[in-house]
Amino acid sequence: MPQEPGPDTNTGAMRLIFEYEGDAVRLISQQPVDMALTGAETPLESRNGHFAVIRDTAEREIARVPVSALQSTLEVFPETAGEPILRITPDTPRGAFTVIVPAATAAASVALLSVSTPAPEREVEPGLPPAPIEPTETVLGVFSLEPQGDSQ
Amino acid sequence: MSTADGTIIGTTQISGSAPANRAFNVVLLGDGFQTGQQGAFNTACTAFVTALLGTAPFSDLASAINVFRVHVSSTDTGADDPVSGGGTGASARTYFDASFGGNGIRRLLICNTSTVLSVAAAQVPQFTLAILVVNSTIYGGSGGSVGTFSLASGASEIGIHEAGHTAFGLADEYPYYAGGAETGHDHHPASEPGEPNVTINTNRATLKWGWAVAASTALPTMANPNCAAVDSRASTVPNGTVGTFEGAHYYHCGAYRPEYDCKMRNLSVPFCRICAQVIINRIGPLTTLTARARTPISVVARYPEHLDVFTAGSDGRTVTDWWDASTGWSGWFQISGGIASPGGPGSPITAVSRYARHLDLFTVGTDNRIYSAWWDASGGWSSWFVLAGGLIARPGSTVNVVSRLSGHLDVFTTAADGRIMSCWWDAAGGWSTWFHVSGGIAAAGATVTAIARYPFHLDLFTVGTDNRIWSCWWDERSGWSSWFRIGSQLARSDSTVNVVARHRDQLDLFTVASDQKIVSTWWNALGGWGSWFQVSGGLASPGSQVTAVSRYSNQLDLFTVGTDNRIYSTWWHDPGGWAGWFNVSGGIGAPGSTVTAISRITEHLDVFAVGSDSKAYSTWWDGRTGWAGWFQLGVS
Repeated sequence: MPQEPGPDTNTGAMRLIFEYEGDAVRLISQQPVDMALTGAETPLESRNGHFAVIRDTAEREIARVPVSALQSTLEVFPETAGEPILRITPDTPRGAFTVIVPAATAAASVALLSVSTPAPEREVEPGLPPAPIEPTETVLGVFSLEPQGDSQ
Repeated sequence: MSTADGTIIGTTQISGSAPANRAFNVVLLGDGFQTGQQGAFNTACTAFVTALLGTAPFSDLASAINVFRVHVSSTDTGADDPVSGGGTGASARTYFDASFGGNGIRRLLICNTSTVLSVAAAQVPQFTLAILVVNSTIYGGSGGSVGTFSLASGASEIGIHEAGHTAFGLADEYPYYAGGAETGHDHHPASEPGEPNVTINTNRATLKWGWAVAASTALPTMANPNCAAVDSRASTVPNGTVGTFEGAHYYHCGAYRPEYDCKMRNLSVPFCRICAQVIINRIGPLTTLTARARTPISVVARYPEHLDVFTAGSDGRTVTDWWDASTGWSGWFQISGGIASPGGPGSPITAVSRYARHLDLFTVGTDNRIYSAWWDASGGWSSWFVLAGGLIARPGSTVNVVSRLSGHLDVFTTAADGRIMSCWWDAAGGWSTWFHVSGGIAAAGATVTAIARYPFHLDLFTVGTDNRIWSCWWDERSGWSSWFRIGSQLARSDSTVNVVARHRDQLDLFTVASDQKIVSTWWNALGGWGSWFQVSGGLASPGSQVTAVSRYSNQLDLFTVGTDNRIYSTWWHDPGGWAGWFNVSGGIGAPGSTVTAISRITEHLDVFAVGSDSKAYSTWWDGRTGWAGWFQLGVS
């Protein structure tokens, strides 16, 4: 099969690095990067967790990417096999994390969200999905993005 | 202590050969190594690579994994070891400020994560995971966005566990927060965790890893008899059993893990089946899919800016890839462990979208029963379940599904003895039982095709045992008609009758004749059935079908794999009639394969095919730009 490099809908990607201390989060770096974006949420999907949400100037959502390294606790590992791993809660959580997001031309901002949903009323019979339950979204911060020049 | 206390020497790739922009890239950075100690860093990195690639499923995904080491020379050797954390009081000037004794716990090895991430991004822009290796034999490590571990024996396991969190979004499966003696962790809150490997749900039908649970496995598989404490009993089921084991996600009760043990619970054990699948579905999309060559690719547009594509891998695994205008292609990943039946071209994955936030899938499993699964925006992928009482279908049969209404599905397939069978699902009443449609029998290898020209009417088509084309219909007012023959055209016995309704009073039929000619006829409400005719002299490869799409009421686009295995198209337009066949962008299909096409907007076609190398390809036609070149389907 003769091939061309790929669809012109390839948006490219951008690496964002955030720092946090307590409840304060700041965007310290945004860097265009040539890499495949895996793990983005299927559009319209909703589940609990932390997410980076890319929005356009009208604050419409363009893409939603899970953030798994925004932590308020620290993990302590045992020196001896079989002993328990521990979690501790520091007085002031601090650290940094990175997330890869699509670099759409229309991207104007990135919002960090914490999404939680009450326990769903689950179906019993196969073939009927659970009734949708509106999740609660807490905005941890909204940050402007630098314009991207040559993508979609 | 800061970046003034050292120098970045450079970066070396030590494992993997995948293109960096299509790989899972691990970056190991050294701290507390002086210039003359870089050999010790090299040794630690090699040991980590051995441990990582010796751990399933990374061992099976090595072709998509690159590992880099970033050499950094620090002013001093080692790391801080403050007295407040139970250490010696040693202080070391190092580039990443590594220090034992975080939060007063000596083995909590912390660092300046901002610096680590910034250096990793500068040295390997496409990095996925950054891990700091600290030059000390004191046992220590920590997790988070940057995993840290020291040179102490066994500490590299920390890096692999932390990859589970950072790169794959896996939850901790241990059932305590502070070793088990803590308070306030008896019962998990009544909110479903977002992570894929812990749950509060023990309903077999809706369990998020239900696809991996054997019917004979009890749920819950182990329940904690005393929620005031961690359940420390040995497993009551054989090692590797997937079920629901109470005690997970930092709570003694009310949260469940998939297996008794897992690397997300204990460092020294393998990843459980579910965590392994999550890792496979995250790294796997970076690899290319080898498709089952003759199984048609299925495609659905839930809305105009989105495509969901389904096929079977060469191992029969049901896989999907999706494209969204905002993010491009996601890459192929497996659906709930499903395996589609071989036989003939192999059972395809039939997909229907009743509304934008929902998909229903159907296929014939390896036991030749009809299976279904769904994806819903509110809950993700369901498990596969046997449809409506377990009809035994022909090996490799196609399941054809029509959604006449958003709360209704009509399902059609051929039973093992060729009977044309149907069942339906309705939101009000659930699944019906299977019934034989008006006594119809399909030829060996033939499929049954259904179309709803309007919500209260169905038209069915198949190749009968006399190798001629037959039809019947269902109407809400009169029920099912008898089968009747459409002319005397002889069809290939394994031919599919492809049908398009350009409007509610018109049907256009396309199929492959016994002599490989691509033939068509039509029906309209005013003139009834037309005669069969060969479409522009077209011929299909043995086994290949003809696919039709109507972008608007006076336009038809056809696709097939020709006798030279090239991918051809033609169109009909009123006025103008039929055009000649042309090769689409030089495409060559697998022998006997079938081309799939969809029009998600009027002046646009997306076309999918399995190439002669058994890889899945796509191209598109746009009214403004014409035909694009073929590209291999994977991740953008």
